Amino acid sequence: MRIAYLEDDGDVAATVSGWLRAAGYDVECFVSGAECAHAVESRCFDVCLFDWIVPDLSGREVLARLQIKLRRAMPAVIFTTGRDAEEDVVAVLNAGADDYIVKPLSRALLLARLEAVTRRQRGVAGGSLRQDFGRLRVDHARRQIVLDEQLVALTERETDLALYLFQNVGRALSREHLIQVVWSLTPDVDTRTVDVHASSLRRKLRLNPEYGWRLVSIYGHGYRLERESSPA
Amino acid sequence: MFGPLAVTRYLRSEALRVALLLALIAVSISGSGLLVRIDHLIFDVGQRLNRRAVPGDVLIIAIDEDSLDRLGRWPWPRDQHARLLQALCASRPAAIAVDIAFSEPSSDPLADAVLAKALADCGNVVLPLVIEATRVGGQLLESPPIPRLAAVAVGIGRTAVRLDEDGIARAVDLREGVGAATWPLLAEEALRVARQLPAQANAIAAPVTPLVARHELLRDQSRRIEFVGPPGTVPRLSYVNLLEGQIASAVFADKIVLVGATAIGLGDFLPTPVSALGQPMPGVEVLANILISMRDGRLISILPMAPTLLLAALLAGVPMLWLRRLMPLPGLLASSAWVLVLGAACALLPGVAQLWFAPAGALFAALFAFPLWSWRRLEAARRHLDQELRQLRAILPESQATQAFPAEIRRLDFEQRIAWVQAAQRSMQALEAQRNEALAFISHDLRTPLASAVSQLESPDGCAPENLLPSLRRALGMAQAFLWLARAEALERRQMKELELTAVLEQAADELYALARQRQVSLVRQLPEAPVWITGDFQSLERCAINLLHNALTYAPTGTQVSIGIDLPAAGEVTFWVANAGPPLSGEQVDRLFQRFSRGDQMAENPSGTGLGLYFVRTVAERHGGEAGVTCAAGTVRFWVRLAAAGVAANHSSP
Repeated sequence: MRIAYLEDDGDVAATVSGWLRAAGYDVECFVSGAECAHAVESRCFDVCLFDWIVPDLSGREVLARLQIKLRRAMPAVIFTTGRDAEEDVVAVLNAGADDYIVKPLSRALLLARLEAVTRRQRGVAGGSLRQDFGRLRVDHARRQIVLDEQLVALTERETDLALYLFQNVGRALSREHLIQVVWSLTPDVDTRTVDVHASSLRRKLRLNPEYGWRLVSIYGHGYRLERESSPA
Repeated sequence: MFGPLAVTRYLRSEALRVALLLALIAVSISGSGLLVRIDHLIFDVGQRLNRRAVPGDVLIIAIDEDSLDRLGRWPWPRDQHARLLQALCASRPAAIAVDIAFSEPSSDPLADAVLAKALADCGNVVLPLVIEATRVGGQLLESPPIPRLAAVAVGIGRTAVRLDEDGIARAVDLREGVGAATWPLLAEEALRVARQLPAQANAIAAPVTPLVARHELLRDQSRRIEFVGPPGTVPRLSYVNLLEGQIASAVFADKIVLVGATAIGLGDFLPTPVSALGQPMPGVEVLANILISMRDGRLISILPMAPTLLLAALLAGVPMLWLRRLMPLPGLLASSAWVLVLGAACALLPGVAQLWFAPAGALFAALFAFPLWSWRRLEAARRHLDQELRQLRAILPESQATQAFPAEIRRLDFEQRIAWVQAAQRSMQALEAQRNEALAFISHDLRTPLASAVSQLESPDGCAPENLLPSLRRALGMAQAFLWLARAEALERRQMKELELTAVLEQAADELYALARQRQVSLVRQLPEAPVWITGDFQSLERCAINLLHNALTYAPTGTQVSIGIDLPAAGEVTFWVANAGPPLSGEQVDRLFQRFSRGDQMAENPSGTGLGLYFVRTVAERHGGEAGVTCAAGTVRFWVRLAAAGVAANHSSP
């Protein structure tokens, strides 16, 4: 796994690339946005880790440039940013980034996000028909979810949404994306429908830290189903 | 930009423009004679105010009612006049002017002869010449005395005065005549005979006779008369008394004697500036006034047109000298005073300097100076105000304005503009206060933990990293809390979106699950199954709930529980709350809790608190149009935030 890491702060770059190398990633650090963009265009990287604010080309400008040049061959992009305001985060996600991490970075969170993103690239989750999360078991083939040995009664759309979320644990999924995937056959679905279904799943499947889960709403922009590290 | 300097410059050029406009007003008023009646009024007031001692050496022999009663109807036989003259001449007056027209021979040729002899004997009698228009055709005729009398008179002069537009006699022409302005005034002739003609009057230039206009009345050297007083001021003696020898002849020695009609029935009367219309002045007294004026060198010159216009234009601009410097009220007073002073000066000028300047144009312009200048100044103020408003609108954040700034400043009236500027000023003050708070925060709250960390690092025996962590965490927490607060203060309702409140609270509870476990407090969610839609800001509401939960978890005793829940007390209203077991708070504590930089009494237990948490909650609630509060009952402390619901159907289930 090759990671292009754009960060202009030398100390942070050294620390973070240390974590990444220790986790087995192949990291190349860049201080300049233009240089980074050039490298990603010419060589093959699997994941880009971009800082938002860099002196010459900002992370977003690099992202925009790469999207034009690489199109479908675009690697996964995760933003690290000191700005956690809603409009900034939503703007990054709308611009096409796969996820974001608010600074200061934590090692566990960074590795978890990278794992989720690369898992999608390897196409692992989709291949598994059955997932066993301890108290929760998901059977994709039968479209059944079992919680504490009890079959959970879900509506059709709730099931669709739940199965898709379990396939994409740790990924930021925008509401628009979820509508396309889950409600593809239903016209005129508004984003509130997604919220209602997400709330419903949260309640019925106990997607809370007590059960080892977190269903995070990203400022109303989308959802990310996360595995909580320390379940009760 | 329209800075203060630009305003000054603008007003300076504006002052010049206003002065020019005033000058234009003055010139056009003066030039057109539109307000000539105002001029007359001022002149007349001046004449009435101007009182002089009546000279005793000019006497009028009055053909009065008494004389008519006793001597019979007018006209009297000319030999009677001859007898009067003989009686007069005996006392050797300096000159005699007879204001009786002898332009036609009398029916008794002998009487004419007797009169002629009397005139010749006296040798100091002047006779009048009348210029009159014939009844038909309006042709002008000069009617001198009959040749026989004219031959023996030592002088012949006109008695005509000029009547102004309002029918009042103010002026005489020193020279006048048909075809050529050659005839002097009767008064001038009488003075010449009496050798009392002042030197400058002798030098009256011979008029240039134009070649054309042979039959027009030509006038030259117009002067205004200075009247010595109202009718009756010049001493009169009755004709009949003199004729009957009842007056001592010595009275007339070396005096100028004027003979003329004062009886109403004879009709020779003129309205004058010093006489009201009801009490006109006899022609002979007007003659006496002309004579006195001329002798004393007090005939009033009229400023010619060109200098009049120039002076009017200059005087019109005078108010600009002070209007630019004065505030409105002193400006108004000064301008009013200027009008009065100018009017008074022009009224008194003839009496002082024998010069008449028609001030109506300058006065009118002076009246206009203040309104015109005020208008321009208001206009300048308005522009400045608009400019300021535009700048304020550009620099002030929208959330600071209590109301949105109007898109179109042009449409506002003056008071509204001022109100806007005041509102903007309040916003500026609020911003200033915020800035000061930020400075206080950075200089104290943020610096203290950082400084403590640095001093630990600098200590010679070194320090373990875990000792640094608390103060650094505290600094970071402070900075974060301050940032959130700043963001909450900038929240605007129109940027808020529709969101589902239970999801927000679930997420906040998720966030604090770890802390709850660590403190061995159970976190209970009492959230409804149906979605609760509100309009709000996701991040700040989530942070609100987190702050409340964090607070509750901090103060809840170990082994108890902390609950988070939603109440729907009424339609359109949503309350979410966080409750923990704890001692009730005193009223004073409650008051202080939601203040900035406040902390509960257990501060010592919780040194990581920022003091901003509950203030943040309150700010967010208020920005959402709601409120935050705390209630204590039955050993439970419950913090709540009341918000407005989005007003949509709550059950929004879908396929």
